[in-house]
Amino acid sequence: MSGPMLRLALRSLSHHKVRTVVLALCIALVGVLPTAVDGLLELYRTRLAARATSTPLVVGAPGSRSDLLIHALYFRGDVERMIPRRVAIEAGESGHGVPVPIHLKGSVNGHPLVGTTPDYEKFRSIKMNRGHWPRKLAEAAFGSKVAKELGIDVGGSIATDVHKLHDLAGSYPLLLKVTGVLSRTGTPDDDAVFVSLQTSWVVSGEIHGHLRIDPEKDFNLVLENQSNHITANAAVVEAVEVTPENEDSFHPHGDPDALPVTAILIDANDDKGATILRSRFRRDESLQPIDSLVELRELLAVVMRAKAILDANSMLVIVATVLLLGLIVTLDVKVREREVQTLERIGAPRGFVARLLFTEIAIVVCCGGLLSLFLARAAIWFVADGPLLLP
Amino acid sequence: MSSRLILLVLISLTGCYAASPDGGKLPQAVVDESPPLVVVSISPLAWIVSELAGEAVELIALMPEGADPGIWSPDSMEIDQLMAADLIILNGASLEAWAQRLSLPIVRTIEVARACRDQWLRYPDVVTHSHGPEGGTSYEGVAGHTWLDPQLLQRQAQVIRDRLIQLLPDQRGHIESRWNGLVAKLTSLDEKMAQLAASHPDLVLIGSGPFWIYPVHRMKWTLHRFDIDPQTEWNEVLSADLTRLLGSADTAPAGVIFWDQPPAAGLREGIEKQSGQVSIVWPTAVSLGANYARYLDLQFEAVDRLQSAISGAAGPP
Repeated sequence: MSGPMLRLALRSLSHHKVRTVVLALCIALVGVLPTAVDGLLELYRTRLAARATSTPLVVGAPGSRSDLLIHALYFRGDVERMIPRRVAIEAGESGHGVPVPIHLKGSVNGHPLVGTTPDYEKFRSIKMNRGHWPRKLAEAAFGSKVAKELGIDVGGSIATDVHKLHDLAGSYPLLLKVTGVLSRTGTPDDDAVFVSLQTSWVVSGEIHGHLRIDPEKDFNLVLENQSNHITANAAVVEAVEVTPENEDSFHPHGDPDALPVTAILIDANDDKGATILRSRFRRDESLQPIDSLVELRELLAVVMRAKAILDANSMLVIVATVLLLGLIVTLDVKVREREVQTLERIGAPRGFVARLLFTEIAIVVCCGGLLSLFLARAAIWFVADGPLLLP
Repeated sequence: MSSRLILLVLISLTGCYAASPDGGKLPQAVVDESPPLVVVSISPLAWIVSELAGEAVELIALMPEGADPGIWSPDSMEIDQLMAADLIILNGASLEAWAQRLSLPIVRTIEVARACRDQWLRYPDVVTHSHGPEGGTSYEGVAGHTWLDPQLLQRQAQVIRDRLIQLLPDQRGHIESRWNGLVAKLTSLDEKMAQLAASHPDLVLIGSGPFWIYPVHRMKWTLHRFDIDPQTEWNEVLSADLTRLLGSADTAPAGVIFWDQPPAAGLREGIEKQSGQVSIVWPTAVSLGANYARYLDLQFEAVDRLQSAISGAAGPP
């Protein structure tokens, strides 16, 4: 492609600005969808796989395996049944790995409230941006994204969401004290609020405390006042707050080992340890161990089947666009007949006009393609850091 | 070059992939020459650790002297110690109420009473429940004072031994050799209690708390629970409760009432005067502070006092 030819093509395109821009935009829009979808799926798959690779073994109660995977690794959705904390303790006692229990039942402004132990911090190599990991009742560490979104920082407080508005047993939100904010990880941890298992059990009603009621001041809460005890009514309390005064009153009823967890992540010492633990869990019919990567591949295979349909659709759209582009070029040649004749009259060599038209089309297609890549890249960047991408 | 490849290159150049393929795990190559930190909740277990590991570990007996594990809570400095510990040893069996509110790392925490879960007992019913002026713990459900039975304590010590060997593999020989000495001491106490039980079968005793349920069960004796704070003043209500208890017992008690710590003189005299029950201090030794090494001596002394009392030669409680 010679310099004068390129210059002439550019001058021609700039002369027909509207037509050029419309054509380039059409090409860009046709290309942006498959490119963005492809890139997003790749990003999605990579992130999911990274999380699954770092969490190879998960244990939960029998039920939907994909639900358990999504719940335990990405803090989304619920599981049908729970397992007792005893399973985690016994796995730890085996000496083959570190069990990291998860109890995910509550939320804070729609963000998952993850009850776990300090083992999680080590397991994920989490770095605290400010403050420390929750250690006591009602202490919470916020993921970087949720802290930013809620405008909350160490020293602040926020109540958990109420899920059971009509719970006659009285399910009140718990006032959480922010003790830490995590550094950004680019994982679902950014979007979660971490508390101790005990705090999560308070939120779900497994552990409770007793409010101290002064019958003189809180007469509106008193249902019955006898010499040795006071019965309070179920009047709505805005939020339960754990204070140094009432902290000691929080306690579970029944066997503490039987307190529920929704999943256990297993950080096995080595392959041998993972194999031993996996077979031990498989022998127990009340447990369901899953290999995260295997489960993820099965899950992604379903997504990829759906993507094949999308790819076929995109291909048809591209073919239709190419045909339309051919039609437009043909019509354009007709429209520019006088211009072509003028070029021939002033001595343009044989085939010059065809090469000029090809150059113009090539420039438009290149511009449209580049614009398509840019828009797709922008969409991926937005989604990667925005709220739309799951992990 | 395909658009997908270009896209991936662009993304990786701009660092869009924040998550590393291995999930962000960092190599942990910290070399620390200092002895591992072992934090122990109650004194009997601290004694076990010191007997087995000696200077090979840095031992912290967590609870201060006289603290009640049912109502005591660690302060922020003690929580820091717990978080920094290489091994946290709790008794479990619902004894340490504070541990049920604190987030402890699962794998670095052991509840040794789980080793004798098959022999857990429940606290007997309470007759009266006087906590004294400062209030106190409500003892209900599973009994947590498992260590007072030397056989159960040996099973708990076995768990501690195994974890210490796991923590200090180089010290295996040292720990195992000390284990034999520890077993000999516990066996000696157990034999002393067995002899006492054999010479006085089917005794019925009264406990001023529920703590002695395990040793009494081991000795095949019966314990009636009559919860009284040792510092409570003797009064008419207690007198009536004691009369009711003594009247309802199937068999006449042996004339001994156990105390965890010396009772107030007025209380001791009041009980003895009304019912003839001799006060005997059998310390649970749950929180001896820095004196945890005295645990076994205190138990031997208590058994000696009990032997004297039921033989009719009781000295001071």
